[in-house]
Amino acid sequence: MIDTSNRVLIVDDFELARVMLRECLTKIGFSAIDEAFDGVDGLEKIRASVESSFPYSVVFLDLNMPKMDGMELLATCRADPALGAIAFIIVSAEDEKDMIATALIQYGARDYVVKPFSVPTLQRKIEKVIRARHGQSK
Amino acid sequence: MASQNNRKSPPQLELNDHFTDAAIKSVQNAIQGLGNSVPVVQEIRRHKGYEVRGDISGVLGMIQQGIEGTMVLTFPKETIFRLLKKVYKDREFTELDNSTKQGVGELTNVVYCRLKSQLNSRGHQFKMSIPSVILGVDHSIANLLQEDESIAIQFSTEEGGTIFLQIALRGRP
Repeated sequence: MIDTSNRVLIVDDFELARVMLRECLTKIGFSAIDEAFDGVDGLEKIRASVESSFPYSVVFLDLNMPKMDGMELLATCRADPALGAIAFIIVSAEDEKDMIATALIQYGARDYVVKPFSVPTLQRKIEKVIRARHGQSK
Repeated sequence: MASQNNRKSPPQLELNDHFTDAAIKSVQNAIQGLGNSVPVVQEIRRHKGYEVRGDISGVLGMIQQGIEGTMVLTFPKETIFRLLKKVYKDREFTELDNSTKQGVGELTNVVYCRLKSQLNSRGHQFKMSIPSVILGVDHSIANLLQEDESIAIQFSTEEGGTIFLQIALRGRP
């Protein structure tokens, strides 16, 4: 069972993608769901959440975005110790192995979901990531 | 640079049944992802002289070493309105607004990524591409290539909607 009281953030420049992911997360049971429309907006919201009493546990991140793309956002967060506890799941239509490997290995994303995806697939990925995150914080 | 020089040249690409199957699966996969039924193929056209018409289209370039072309995904407005309503649930779509533009852009992106994935798994090296969206009631987008270099696939959706996928590819030396 996932602890759906976790706060999560969706970062994607396409509104349709954000709406679809929100719908999936709502079906899984999440209610504290925020959205950002590019990497800059996403980084601002991530930093604000850490400064608040309710930081994001998981950020769902598209890769191809204007202003600041997903890889740059990941790299920026990984370089900031204050943001180290946040788990990133890449959500993208791209499934190039090189890109996935780069995001996961080089930039520290926890997992990768290829669009379009099903609710059960997303749920499994989130469970794995949140379980790993709790294991690390003990 | 060394890794680029060592990379094998991609295989020849023909707009044959294998290609058509990959294109069909890409559209079906993308539309099903919206929570809709699988769109059904109505017609596949390989002859020059057909004209696809619609109200909103997503367009992007398909480029790899030795091949360049375009992919176009076209919808009548009623079709895209019904498809998006399945996702947006409580919202009625009545005009080609920013949400519909974004929706077509995202669908075009997903269809292309699914097609690229299938082609690249066979040795091709199609690159990432960013869609543009064209709006215009009853517009058509004509490619200028020859008969054996382009295809148009017409799909029907539940509730009687229509989707067109056009792909035009040409080899270059």
